[in-house]
Order: sequence, then C-alpha cells, then structure tokens
Amino acid sequence: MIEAHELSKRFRRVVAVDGVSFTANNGEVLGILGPNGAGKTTLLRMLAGMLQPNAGFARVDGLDARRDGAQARRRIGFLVETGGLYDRFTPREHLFFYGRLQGLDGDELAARVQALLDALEMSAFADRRAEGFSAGMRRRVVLAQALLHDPPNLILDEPTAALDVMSTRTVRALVHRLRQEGRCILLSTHLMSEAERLCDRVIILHQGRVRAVGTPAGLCAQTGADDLEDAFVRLVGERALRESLWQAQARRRWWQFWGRGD
Amino acid sequence: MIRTLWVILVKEARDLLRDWRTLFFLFAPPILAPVGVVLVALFVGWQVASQAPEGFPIAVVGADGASELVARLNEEQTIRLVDPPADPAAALLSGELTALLTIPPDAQARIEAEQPVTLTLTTSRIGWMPALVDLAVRKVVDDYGADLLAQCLSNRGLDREWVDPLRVQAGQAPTTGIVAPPAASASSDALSRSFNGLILPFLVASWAMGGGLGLIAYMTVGEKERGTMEPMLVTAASRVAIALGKIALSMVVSLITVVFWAVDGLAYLAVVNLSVAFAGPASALQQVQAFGVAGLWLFLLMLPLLVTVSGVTAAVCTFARNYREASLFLTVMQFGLPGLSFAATFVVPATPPAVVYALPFVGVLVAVRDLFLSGLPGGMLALAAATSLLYAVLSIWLAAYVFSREWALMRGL
Repeated sequence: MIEAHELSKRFRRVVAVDGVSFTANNGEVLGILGPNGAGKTTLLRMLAGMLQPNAGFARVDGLDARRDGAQARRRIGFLVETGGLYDRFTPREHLFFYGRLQGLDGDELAARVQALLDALEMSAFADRRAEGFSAGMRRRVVLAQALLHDPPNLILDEPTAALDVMSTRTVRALVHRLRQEGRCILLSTHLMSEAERLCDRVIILHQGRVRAVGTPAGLCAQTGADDLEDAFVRLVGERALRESLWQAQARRRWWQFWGRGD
Repeated sequence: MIRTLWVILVKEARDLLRDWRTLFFLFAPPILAPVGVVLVALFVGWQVASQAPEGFPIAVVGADGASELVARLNEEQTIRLVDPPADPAAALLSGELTALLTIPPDAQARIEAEQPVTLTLTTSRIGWMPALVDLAVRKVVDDYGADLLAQCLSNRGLDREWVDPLRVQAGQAPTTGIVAPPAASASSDALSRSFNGLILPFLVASWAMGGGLGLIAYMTVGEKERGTMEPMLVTAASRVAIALGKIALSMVVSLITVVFWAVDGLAYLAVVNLSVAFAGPASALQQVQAFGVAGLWLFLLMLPLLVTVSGVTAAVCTFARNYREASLFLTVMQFGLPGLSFAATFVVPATPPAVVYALPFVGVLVAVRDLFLSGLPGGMLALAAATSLLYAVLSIWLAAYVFSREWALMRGL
C-alpha cells in the first residue's frame, strides 16, 4: 500500500507538487494522469524516495519513505520513464547487478532473473550486450529490473512507452497478473485508453494539484463524457490544458536555450 | 555497505575491462612512452650505424690549403671525404653531400705565420644527420686548433695549462633534511637536482590527473546521461556505498596508471642521477639508496594527492548536469593543478613557512620540489604527508556527501 499525505515539492519558485494526498491499496492499479508538467514524475520520485518532499510525507506499507528510506525502497519497484542501460552489459548481467544491489544473491537471484527473462520474453537476447538494442528491448530490461526483487508495490512510469503492439500486450498482461497477485500498482501514462483498460482508479493531476479522483467510469459519469480522454479534457479544462502545454513547452525551450534542458 | 561497495566496484571494473578504448588511453601512454623512447633511440642508432661504415660524405674545397687538417678529417670514422662536386649547392640540396668544408687558399701560410684562419662549414638541411656531421667536423677542427695552440705556446716556452688558469672543484652543499641523491660533480649535481626539483611537481600534478578523471566522469555524470542513475537510486543500496564503490575503482585505476608513470619517471631519474654517479668517484650503491629514499617519499606523498584529486573530481562530476558541464568543470581542474604546480615551483619561496606545506595540493607539490631540490626537513615532510592524508579523507567524504544530496544527484535528471 502506498500513501501520500499532503505531499508538496518546490524547485526554487516552481511548485511542482502541491499538497497531494491519496492512498493506493494492495490489489489495485491506481493511474496517475496529467498533462506535461503536471508534476507526475516529481510525485512518483517522492513516493520512491528519490526526492525529499518539502512538506507532507509518503508511506510504503506503513514505512516512511523518507525516514525508513532503504526499507521502503526495498518494498517498491520503480520503472523509471527514462531508465537506460549499460551498453557493454547483457540483460542478464543487468539483472544480476540490480538484484545484488537489492540484496539478492545466489540461487534465489539466478532463479528470479531467469523467471523474468522468460516472463518478459527476453531469453532470445538475454546474453547479448545492450549496445544496439531497440527501445522496446531496453524498456523490457528496465521493467525486469523493477520487478527483480519481487516488490509488493510497483510504480510504473510510462510502462508501455516505445513498445510495439506485442510487447505492449505482454506488459499489460503482466500488470493484470501483478494486480491479481495483490500488489499495489501506481501507473503513470499518457495513454487514456491504457488507463481506462488497466486502472481501477485514476488521479488527475494538474499544475501539481489533484483535480479529480475516481474510477474511469465514475469520472466519465461525473463529467458526462463518453470516454476517459474526454473526461480528462473536461476536468483539466481545454483552455487550461492548452495553457499548461504551452507553459511546459516554453519552460523547456527556455532551459534548452540555456543548455539546461532535458 | 561493504557489500554494495563491492557490487559497484565489480560492476564498474567489468564495464571498464570491456571498454578497450578507455583502457588504451589510460594505460597505453605510460607503457608506450618508454617503449617509444627506446624505439626512437634504436632507430637513431641504427641510422647512424648504417651510415658509419662508409661515413657521411663531406667535400673539402681548398684541401691543399691545410693538408694536416684534411689528413685528420680523413682519420675520422664518421666522415668520408669525397671530391668536391661541380655544383656543391645542388649536391647539398639533394643530400648527396652531407657537408662542405671550405678552406681558404692561404690557410697553411696563415697557420705557419701563427695567424687565425676562418673555415666555412656548410651542412645539408636534409634530415638530422648533418647535425652529427657538424659536431664531428667541429671536434676535429677544435682538436687540431688545440694542438696548434699548444705548439705555438710551446714555441714560446709556455705551458698549455696556463690557457685555463682557474678551475672549479666540486663541493658538497649542506642540506636541511631528506634529499635526493648526492652526486659526484657539483655542476652536474646542481643541474640534475634543479631539473628534478623543477619538473617533478609538474609531473606529479599530471600523474594525479592522468589516471581516472575521464573514468570518474563516466561513472558519475555518465550514469545521469545514460539514464542509469535513477534505477540505481531507487534500489535499497546506500548512496554513500555507491559513491564509495565508484571512487574505489577510480583509485585503483589511478594507482595503476600512476605506478606505470612512476616507473617511467623513476627510470628516467635513475638514468639522470646514476649517470652522474658513475661519472664520478661516489659509490653507485649510495646513489641508489639515496635516490630510493627520495623516490619512496615521492610515492607516499603522491598517493594522498591522487585520492584527493579523485575525490574532488567525483564530487564535481556528480554535481554536473551532463558531460558537457562536467568537462567544463574538469577543464578548470586540468589547468588549475598544473598551474598550482608551477606556482609551487616558481612562486613559493625556497624556504617557505610551515603553513605552505599544509595547504591542499600546494603543500605536497612544494614538498616534492624541496625533496629533490634543496632538501626537506623531516618535520615539514611529516606535516605535508599528514595534511595530504587529511585532505584525501576529506575529499572522499565530500564525494560521498555530494552523491547523497538531492540537489546534486537530481540535477539533469
């Protein structure tokens, strides 16, 4: 179970996350939706203990993400949106490396690695160096890293980004299975259809604040929309959405101009 | 903690061992430098030897004017006298002739009249061997001139020795402490000591930076650029342990490269200093022992400096947003440390106050200078060694601290 209580994060004068509270239960997929610059990644990083909140707190299975950092992180698997690979390592070596960092070793680690290589259909390239891997192959390795230590809580940031149709289906099936196993899953995505299909509930973030929480069907009913995409646009506000996108782009261009953009 | 450190160390080592380009640029220079020097020396020797049996072709114009000199030139093995060509300039230009010696027609008459004679030596500009020929011809001419002078003085009943009435004898300068090997002759000792004392601080600064700067950048800011930093940070591993694992590998690599460079440097110093020793009456064994003590201290002083540079580099590269920013920071260090070495060599006075030996970076460099130049009192040596150790520890702490700070780690992510 992952809990956020009045989480806030400020970068200089920019308020990225502003008093966000929610609870994601075990056996539930909670979607985090929002336009670019809404604060999704910052929120997920705080939940994973990578960033310290300026106010509020996050709990993972009752452990404070800040105070009990290592223990809380051990109970979380975080699929990072921009997760990369070491080009001179094979997927198997990646998994062994991250497994050891998570405290696994020996037969247990070897068995876990092999199980994930099979589950994510990576056996064909498990012993090839990552140099030259496609985006989809890389994504699967990073996903396997997040699942390696069998965490009860998962934070998946854009899990199907850059994946082809078959890989996307594999990942979605995996998310279903993980939910059935009783894990708590936080899923951030830009794909409304994916959120509608996978999530039990969704949180809509805008400008660092929670705009709405509910089931996809509930949000559609609440806004009178036919699907989640329409509901999302109505909740965020079409004009506000455009402004938000424009601001995000302008901010990015500004930092890129000064050589500090991503 | 130790386990995480070891996991990181092994992973980084494995990554490095698969990166033959980095390995090449780390280890090839110190390995290939002496090999290159030996090869060049062998090549030069071979070129000289291949020409030696025949000798370098030299033409003498006006040979009749100084038959005794020409006879001596004929005896010189590296020279082969040939008839003057029709067009000497063209022959020099083509390399057919290495040198042309022009003797004035009245040379013999002027010699007999005890008057100076001016000879003209024109050497070819092709290759470097004409320089050898120039030396050989000048030596023959000088020897002949010395004999003529001696004959002239003898005719007047004067001793040749009186031409150089004053001599300088070697004296042993007092030192203030541990010092590089004493040498046999004062002039060569002063020369080698000055050279060692002036060049070594710069070499030490270069060695400290040469090892692992690029590697540290790869292991820190490189993780940000590859997108592998975040997955590592979300594991249960301690960030301090991760940082220490990375620094540990950079230390090992830097140490190996420094050992290579140090072996090169010690070989060079041994050649310089032992050649002085063999030239004079001092015992070669004493020279080796004295040099060994100084070399050992040099190595012991260098190690903490190496650690300090690695630690500071790791902190700076962890803070950097990307490679480009890191390279800017490193450029400052790459110019800064050699700059400090020059300052330590030329700006710091010969007998500095004790506090200078306690300054970061500068203290060690000044100690190295004094160790090989004027001598270093034991107390100052201990001060430099102790403070450099302290700075080494502080730099590791700094690197670990920066690696555990959100404001540094999350820049650029």
